[in-house]
Amino acid sequence: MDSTEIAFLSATDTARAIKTKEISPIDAVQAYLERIDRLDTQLAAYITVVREEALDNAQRILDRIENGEDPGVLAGVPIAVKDQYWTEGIITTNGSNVYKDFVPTEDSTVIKRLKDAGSILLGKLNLSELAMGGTQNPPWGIPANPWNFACTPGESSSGSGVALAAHLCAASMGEDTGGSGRGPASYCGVVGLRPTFTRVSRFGMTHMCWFMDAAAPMTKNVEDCAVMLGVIAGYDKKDPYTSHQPVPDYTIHIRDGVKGLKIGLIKELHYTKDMHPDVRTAIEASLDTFKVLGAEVKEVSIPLAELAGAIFVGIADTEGAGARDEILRVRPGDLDQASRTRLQSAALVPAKVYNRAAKARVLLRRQVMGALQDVDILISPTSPYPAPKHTDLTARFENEDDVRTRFFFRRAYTGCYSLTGLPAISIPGGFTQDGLPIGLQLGARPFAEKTLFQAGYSYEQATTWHTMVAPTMQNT
Amino acid sequence: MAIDKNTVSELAHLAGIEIEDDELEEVTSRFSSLMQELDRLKDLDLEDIFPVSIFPEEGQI
Repeated sequence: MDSTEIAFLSATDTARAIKTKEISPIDAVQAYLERIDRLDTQLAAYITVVREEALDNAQRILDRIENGEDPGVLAGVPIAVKDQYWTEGIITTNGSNVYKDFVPTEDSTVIKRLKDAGSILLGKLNLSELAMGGTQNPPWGIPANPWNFACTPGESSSGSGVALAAHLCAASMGEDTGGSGRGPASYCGVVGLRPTFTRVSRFGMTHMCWFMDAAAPMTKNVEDCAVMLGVIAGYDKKDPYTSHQPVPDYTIHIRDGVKGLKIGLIKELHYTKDMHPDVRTAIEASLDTFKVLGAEVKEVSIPLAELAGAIFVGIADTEGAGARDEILRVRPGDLDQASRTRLQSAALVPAKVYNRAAKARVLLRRQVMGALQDVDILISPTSPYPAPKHTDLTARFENEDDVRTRFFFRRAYTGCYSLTGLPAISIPGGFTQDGLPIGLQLGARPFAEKTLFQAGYSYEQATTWHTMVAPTMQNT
Repeated sequence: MAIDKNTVSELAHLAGIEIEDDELEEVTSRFSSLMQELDRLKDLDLEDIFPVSIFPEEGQI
């Protein structure tokens, strides 16, 4: 197997190839390092590459395998993580000049668990400043979407989406507050999961909004995502809000199919005038696919869904402004212009308005849970339109309508699950006529990630979207 | 609810936040839009609802 073939393997296939000694962990790490050297100048997926450490760890994993040990389910799999996770001794920038010299003294729990499972950290990935989105001048470069360099890869886990679509790592960790993992997954044609809120420890993950931040596995396919969640999920005494519920083997029922499952199309997120026609077509085609696979498809109503973007921003940005209060007052000049104005505007929100949004969040949860009494899975696009051009995303807002269209509308789709603490996954669901990926979002009841994996895997096996290679990555 | 730059300047002053002159218009647009969107929540019946930070694992709120 040559280095390109190795780099294009999924995480689980990489683990299998290492286990059967078809390739070594050193082969795998070198394959990715060579691609990073060759391609990342243009892609800007990585902020930091830990070359020597990765090769040393690959040798250690190889030694353990040769000694007959089982180094873990991700033994020798090269991964990269959003530069929001603390990594002992490695700079963790949070995508901001404010943190450009921050070197954590310990690993986040997610990083520790990934290492314990045998994975090998290649480096830290680019992101929007402070995991917010809209950064105009990212200090470590503007990540390029491999499907079209002129387009954004999504925010804020931009580097994670790019690194997967460009095969610069086998699997990745993003973070998802309001869609920061699912959005880039959608725009880059990969898989992104937002787990149930208390499912994964957030210790050592720099916060944007304490109520909604979630660790988000991002992968090349659904099976990889199931494996990654199994590794990182579970109670952590360092994050007392993590659930004590046992962590199942998420791969056991992944091939059970969708026969008998009920899938509900969220009306309020489908029949909207601003949805891109190719996205609408893709969603309706996915419903046909699920029907053929044996699922029952119906429409459900979540009246507050269309306001989820506003509710989300009202809570998350206000929280974020509070959390960054010192930076806003003492050193606002260290922030990117877009981050600064976004946080400044959120800092002015009156308490009674915040309180109303917090109550609306509970009402939204009631409505979503009500819909999930009728169906097993909710379906919508992850984003109502494909990846916008960089220039569209970073342009200053012209007026209030411009803010509404560009800022709130998209956030309603992912915000529904962020606000309600429920799990949701974005999987490749087709392409626009211009060749940009479309993300299909599936949501489920609390702790029903296995149902998401089951449906996602079933859909994936019935389609070829996840096997497509971005044009700029062909023959690389 | 129309919010102008003077209102935003005053609010920012009270909140102890300094907004650059050339960014005041953008902050005003963002804030005004956010308040307009959140204004749409006024019509909801939220009387019997108590905000929570984390939803319980079992049972409805």
